Amino acid sequence: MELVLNAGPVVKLVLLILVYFSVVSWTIIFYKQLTIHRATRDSERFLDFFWSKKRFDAIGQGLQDYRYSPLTVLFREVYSELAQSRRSGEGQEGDNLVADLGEQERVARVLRRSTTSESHRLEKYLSFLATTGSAAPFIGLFGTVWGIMDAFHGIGTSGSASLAVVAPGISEALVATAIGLVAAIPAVIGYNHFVNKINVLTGEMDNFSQEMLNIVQRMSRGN
Amino acid sequence: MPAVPLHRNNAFHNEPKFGHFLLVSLIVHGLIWIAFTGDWFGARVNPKPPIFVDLVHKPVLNPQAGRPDPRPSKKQQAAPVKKSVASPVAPKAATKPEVKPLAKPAKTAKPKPVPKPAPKPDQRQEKKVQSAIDEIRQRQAREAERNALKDKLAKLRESVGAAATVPADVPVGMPDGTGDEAGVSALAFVQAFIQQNWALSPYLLDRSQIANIEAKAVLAYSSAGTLVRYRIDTPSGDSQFDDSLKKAIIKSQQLPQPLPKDLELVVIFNLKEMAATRR
Repeated sequence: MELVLNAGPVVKLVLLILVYFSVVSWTIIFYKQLTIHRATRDSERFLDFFWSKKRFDAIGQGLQDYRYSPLTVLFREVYSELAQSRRSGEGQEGDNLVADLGEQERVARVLRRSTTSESHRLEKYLSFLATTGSAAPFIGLFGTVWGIMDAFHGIGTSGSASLAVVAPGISEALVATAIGLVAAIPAVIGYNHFVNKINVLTGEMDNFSQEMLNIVQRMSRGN
Repeated sequence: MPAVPLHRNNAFHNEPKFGHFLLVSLIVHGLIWIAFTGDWFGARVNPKPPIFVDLVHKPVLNPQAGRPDPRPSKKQQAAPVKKSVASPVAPKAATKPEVKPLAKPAKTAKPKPVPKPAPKPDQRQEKKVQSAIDEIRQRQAREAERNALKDKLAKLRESVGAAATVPADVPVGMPDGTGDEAGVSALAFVQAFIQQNWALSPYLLDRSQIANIEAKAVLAYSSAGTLVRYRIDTPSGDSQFDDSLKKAIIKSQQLPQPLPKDLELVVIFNLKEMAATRR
């Protein structure tokens, strides 16, 4: 406490910035932990549910139970696309093969778009963690360098180089580096953890997209 | 197909509120702050380091003792002045001239007047008195010069004092009188004081044990510099050694100057370096 209060104005400003970084980083860590945990849990449950049903209608009715899963969003988008195309195709006479190929193409586009938007949703705020992890130690180091400069200036003015005069200034300055590391370390760990989880979920979305395309193709042939 | 929410960009995920997590984060940071700044269960955030007291680095009370001093001491300087004032006739100077006139008349039977040699001792005395006076004047001049320099130094210190960053808990000087520069910490002061009060002849101890002998004591001083309590945590096992350090602690129960605040410290008594130098 005394170390912080006795620090110079620049070091105090640096400490405030680092505290801000730390508070926001932890907010993001808590937020991401909850959202990614829900997404992973609901994805596993949704895949079980999806493969246990044989009709899209039955799956569509139970989507609300897995609303945090990105796979649910993918399925819902494909389902609504199919519904729209079926509705617009009713009563139209023409080449069925061309119509089916167009439908598959549209479904593929919908899946790509949904995968991208879900990935972006999952990666939201992670860039702040990356920034904190890389910049906070340097900000802290800046505060330390400034504090040590101040301390040496004070030593020069007082004319005494005894440990009692030198040590407090240096220890006050080092607080900035310590807090920089305290802010950066959880941010880096959190960033790596969440990026890994998101990669897993993105892989699942890709796999699910392929499966959906296959199913849509089989449905078209069945027609 | 059944009715599924078909419109896009709706709040399907029902994302949690970011503000709630911000609040949680602030609470966590507040708790961490309290945990680090609070004094929990008497635990000290910044514990005092133990101080080592040994007889090896005992402060020398008068480092100049036994060294030939080129300048005459005060006593030596004062002596000739006293002599010349108290006994104006020096014994040697007075007898010498008196013997000669007594011896000569015996041979020639013509007694010479006595007053002739008398001026000699007076001149010497005058010279001595004069030199003593000169010396006193010189000394006074030196004293005045030194005082002027001291005043000048004090003024300089006052002018610099505002800018100098001297911590509040720093006493000035050491108990043995050495050092007048700010910067000696309270711990160093107490260490030197206990060291000064500790006396033990290593010849009383078993020589093979000297290197390993060590005792740990915990002393608590009030801010007034009074020993409030003490205990010997780890005795050395040697009764002579333990008795000597108890005596040192009791002798150090009142520090010559107050401390900046209450002080509880761990003191380790040993003779390690002494053992190394003795072998």
